[in-house]
Amino acid sequence: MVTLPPTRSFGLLLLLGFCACRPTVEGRPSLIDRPRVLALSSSPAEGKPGDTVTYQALYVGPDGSADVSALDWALCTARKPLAATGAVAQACFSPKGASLIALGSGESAVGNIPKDACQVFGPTPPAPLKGQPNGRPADPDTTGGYFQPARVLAHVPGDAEDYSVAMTRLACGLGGATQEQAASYSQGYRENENPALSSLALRHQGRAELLELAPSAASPLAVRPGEQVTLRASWATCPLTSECGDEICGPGETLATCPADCTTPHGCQGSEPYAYFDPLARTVRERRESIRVSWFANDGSFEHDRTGRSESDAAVTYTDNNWTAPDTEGSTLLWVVIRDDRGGVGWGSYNLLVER
Amino acid sequence: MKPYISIAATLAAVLTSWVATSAAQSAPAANSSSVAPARTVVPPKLVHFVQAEYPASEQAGTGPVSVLLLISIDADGKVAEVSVAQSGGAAFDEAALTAAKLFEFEPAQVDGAKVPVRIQYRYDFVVREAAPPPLPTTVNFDGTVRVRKTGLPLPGVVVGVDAASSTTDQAGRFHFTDLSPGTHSVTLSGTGFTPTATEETLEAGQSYDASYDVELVAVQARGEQVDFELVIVDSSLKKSMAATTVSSDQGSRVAGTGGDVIKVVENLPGVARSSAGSSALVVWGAAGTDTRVYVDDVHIPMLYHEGGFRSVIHSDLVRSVELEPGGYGAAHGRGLGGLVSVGLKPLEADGYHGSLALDAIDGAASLRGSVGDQLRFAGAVRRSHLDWVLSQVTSKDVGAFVPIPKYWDSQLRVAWVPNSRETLEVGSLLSSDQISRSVSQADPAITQHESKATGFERTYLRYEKRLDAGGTVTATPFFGFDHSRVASLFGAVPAELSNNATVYGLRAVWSGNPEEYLNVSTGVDAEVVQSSLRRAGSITSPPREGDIRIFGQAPSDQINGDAWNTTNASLAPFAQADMSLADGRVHLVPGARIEPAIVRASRRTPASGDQPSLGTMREQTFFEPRLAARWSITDRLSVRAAVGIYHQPPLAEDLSAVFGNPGLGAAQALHYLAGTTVKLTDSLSFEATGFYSQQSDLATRSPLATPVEAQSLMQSGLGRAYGGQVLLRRDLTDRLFGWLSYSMVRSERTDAGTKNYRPFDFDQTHVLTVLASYDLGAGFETGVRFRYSSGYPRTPIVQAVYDSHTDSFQPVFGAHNSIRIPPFYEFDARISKRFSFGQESKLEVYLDVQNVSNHQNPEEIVYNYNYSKKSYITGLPLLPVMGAKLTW
Repeated sequence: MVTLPPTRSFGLLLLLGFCACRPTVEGRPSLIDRPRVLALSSSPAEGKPGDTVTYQALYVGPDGSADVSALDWALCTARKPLAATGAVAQACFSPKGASLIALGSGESAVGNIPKDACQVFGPTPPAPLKGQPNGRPADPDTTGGYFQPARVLAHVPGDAEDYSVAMTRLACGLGGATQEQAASYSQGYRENENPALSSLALRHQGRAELLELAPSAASPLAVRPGEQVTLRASWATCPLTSECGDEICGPGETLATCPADCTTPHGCQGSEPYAYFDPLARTVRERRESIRVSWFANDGSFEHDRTGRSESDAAVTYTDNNWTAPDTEGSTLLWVVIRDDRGGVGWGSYNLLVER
Repeated sequence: MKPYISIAATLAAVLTSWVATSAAQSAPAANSSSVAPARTVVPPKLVHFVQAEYPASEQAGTGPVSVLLLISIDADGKVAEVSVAQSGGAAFDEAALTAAKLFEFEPAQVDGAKVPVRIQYRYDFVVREAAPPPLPTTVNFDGTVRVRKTGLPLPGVVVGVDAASSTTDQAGRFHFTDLSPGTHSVTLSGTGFTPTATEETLEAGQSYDASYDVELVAVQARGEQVDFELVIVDSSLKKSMAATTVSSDQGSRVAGTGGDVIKVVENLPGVARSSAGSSALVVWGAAGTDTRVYVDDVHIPMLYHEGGFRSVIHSDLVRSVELEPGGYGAAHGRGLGGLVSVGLKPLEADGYHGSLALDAIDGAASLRGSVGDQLRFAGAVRRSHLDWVLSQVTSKDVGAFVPIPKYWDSQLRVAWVPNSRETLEVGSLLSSDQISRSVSQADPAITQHESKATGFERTYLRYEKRLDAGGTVTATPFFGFDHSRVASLFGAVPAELSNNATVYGLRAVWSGNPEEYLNVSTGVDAEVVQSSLRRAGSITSPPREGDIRIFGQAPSDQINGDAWNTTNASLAPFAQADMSLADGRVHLVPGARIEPAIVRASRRTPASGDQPSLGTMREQTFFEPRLAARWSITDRLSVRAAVGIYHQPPLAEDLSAVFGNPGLGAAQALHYLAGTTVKLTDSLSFEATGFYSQQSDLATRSPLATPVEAQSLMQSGLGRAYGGQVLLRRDLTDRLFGWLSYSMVRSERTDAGTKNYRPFDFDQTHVLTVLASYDLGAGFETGVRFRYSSGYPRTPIVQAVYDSHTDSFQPVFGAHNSIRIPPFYEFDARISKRFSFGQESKLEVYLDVQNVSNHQNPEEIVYNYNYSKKSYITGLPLLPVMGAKLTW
């Protein structure tokens, strides 16, 4: 007998449709009104067990600066319970513990990916207990990735302990596939590259042209109080097919077939193509990264907190958002964070002058 | 009109004879030369006719018979002599002679002088229609009361017609004489069933022999149903009297149900209030999937359409809805929770009837009739149009954002009734639901598309026979399909679960009375479900009971996929005896059910590389003893108790090697309950029941981070539910009915790895329902309902962690289900007006207003982006729904 899945969510959504009674709960993530971690990056974005990784934090406050010495870094070696909805185990959110490998404090930290990361967080089956069959490997994310977590604890004076999580994508290979599929995957997959903003431009006062903003400019562009401007974040265009000599060591290229690109391999800093193993269809196919941009400001308001391009829209290499300047004059800080869905992160900091 | 034999005489006198006689006496000789003057002749005139007796020795209706008589009439007009000129038969001759001798005439005259004459007279004996008897001014009303399920006559039932009453004898017969014609209120009351009322329109001069089949309930004297069953019916009477119809049902009058009889189940004690938009049925703290739903012995997977607006069976076909929250008899199993039995109305050969109904949510039609006396049919269909209505009153593309349910259902029944004891019925039950929405966002990670499609089809054959000894035999084989598919895409995170199942079932029952004090029912209950499933997405999406999550929270982006097949099959012979002791005051109902079952899954481990798929099969045999007892201490006070063991096979969804555990077996429950019923007056009763249910071997999440492969679920969960319920009920008399029900239920579960109980996700500790309906007269009827219930448990959020990977905050939870949504309370009201057309057609127009006070009931908790602030989604505002139903 078919047991019907829970209908509660649908029922509540229907309720919302009838009476438009979803309450507005205060708070916008795009408004920086206290010290916050806006992004954490891992360089490289993807690594093998044992690789050295550098973590970086974008930690800001309402006036632009925040005490980065308050950031305490640690790698977490605990895997979350299978049915937990969060990204990492509860044990990671502690100042100290057996599941934590301290990495130091500050705006950045360096650590080595644990040797057993692919067994703890990846597709390699965990070591069986005595007399037991293999443990269950971790499930990959929607891009086929597995991640080593690192936790950041921000000691904010007068505030509760503020935890954040950074992720390093693990290069663990493919689990549960045939040899043929594994070979196909290996040939088509290239480790992720962190994306980067190629530009942030502004259109205002009804003009058609876009004015590019320089990061943390000494002479920022000026907008009027209360003016709505359009901001455009752009990123690199990634080739859909690999060509030797394009400075990108892409799928199908190896050190042997294209030393020019793969001697020091670089990926593309936009929407990269990558090989993906579909766990249900059990086939290997090529996909493109989706790109998300998160917008932050210490004043004014964005129309959207985040914008981006989905995988099906990956050919477009920019995204727009409207920002309404505050009514008061002064300098406004903007932070724009770009992410690809394989876990890569990049950001830029900008400023605007609000004056009449 | 019954013809009677009459004899009519026709005068066919021929005067030739007397003219000849007279001429002979008065006329001169023929050779006379003189010409006689013209004479004035006046024939005799019959002034006193005597009707001849139709000969008793002769059979009436054989055709007209004539006797030709010669009657000699003297000068005074008296009959002097009578003789037969032409016989019509000895008996007829004699009768005609006797009558004719008593004739009287005005004498014949010749020229003014009275003269004797002789005439020929033909006496005709003919068959005529009887003259209508005088119109009677009173009516006699007889009938029989039987137990519906057994067909046994029910003595001791007090049948009231207006102020008069009659008690049924041992044959279940009652008699009323010299009633005045017109519409009468007929009430039935007695020990063992809910007093019931209906109306009868009696016509003077007609003979009535009614048959009432009553449904025995909690204090039933000798029925096969167990204690603690509550029956809410459109009428608990089933009448076979032609040309009359049962009065309108109680269920459809309850405010807030939209006229849907089955929706009344939500108002019964022991049933948790469904949250707005939900169709789940939580009975005595059991999960919705633990309560089995049957329609005339055919198992169906759902009682309500998506959104909970309507049931899946048209009310016109429904005779009764029975809810047994627990402790039910050996005839049913495979469920840890309650039992809902929808009884369909018997098909009658009483002409064509139907209905058309329309409101803002859907439209429906039904039709029933017969071809001759033996072939009968009924059908109904319903389709929602809420999507269209909303598009007219809101934006046209509202359906793109709001998941508006679209559903339809239909039922078709054809019965062959070769005689009064046997019925063979074939039927089908179909239902389909679809719901979907898409929400585009600037952020591709929170763009959402969700869709859900569910449905079932059933085809059944049902044979029922009443045996000479008073027993019954029923056999209901059925098969069909269940479909369910939930698919969503939250950003790039998919969640899909589809299940297509083929269902085969058989229920065959013999029920009889081998001894006067003993009623026995025995039979077999078999079911085979073959499912083909496919799932992709996070292991916690869709969530299961016990998963800690927040409404609106994005699902985990760790995903997997699986496709698998399962078979759940069991064959359960069962037997149950109802022993009537101490002159029927004590009933002991032992029963047992033995259920060998197999559970097969096509994969014992997740698919990996080139490894072949190996299946697994588990065999279990369950022995399920059941025992119920009742003691009628007085005619108005009884106590009862029951205990039983129940098993439920694992859900096919849980047998995935990736998302569940293909080695799962059945879960078990023990039900204990005790209660009392006090009949305060003939129409007012009070029931109180306490219960305890202990569940074990429940499938629950593995608490481990790295569980053994194919053991994401463990069979180590425990559950318990305990509490009590009371019901104060007034049945339909003097135009008023209603009830007050209150349940205090505590339902708890343990999770794997812990023995600490936590509140069940759907626990509602307090549920109070008060409802009443009153017939205002002149076709107006009004009803009100008040509901209060505790809020569902929720898990508090004690902290939030920023996840840079997804640029979102993840909640950190406190104690599992340790807070609650605030309580719910609501007033509903309903008013309707019926217009009658002719004898049987009527139009009912109603206005059903939910949440009259426009109270903002919290239904769910929502949080801001970093979980530092919370608020509530509130329930439906004041919502008037107007509709109309035409029946004929």
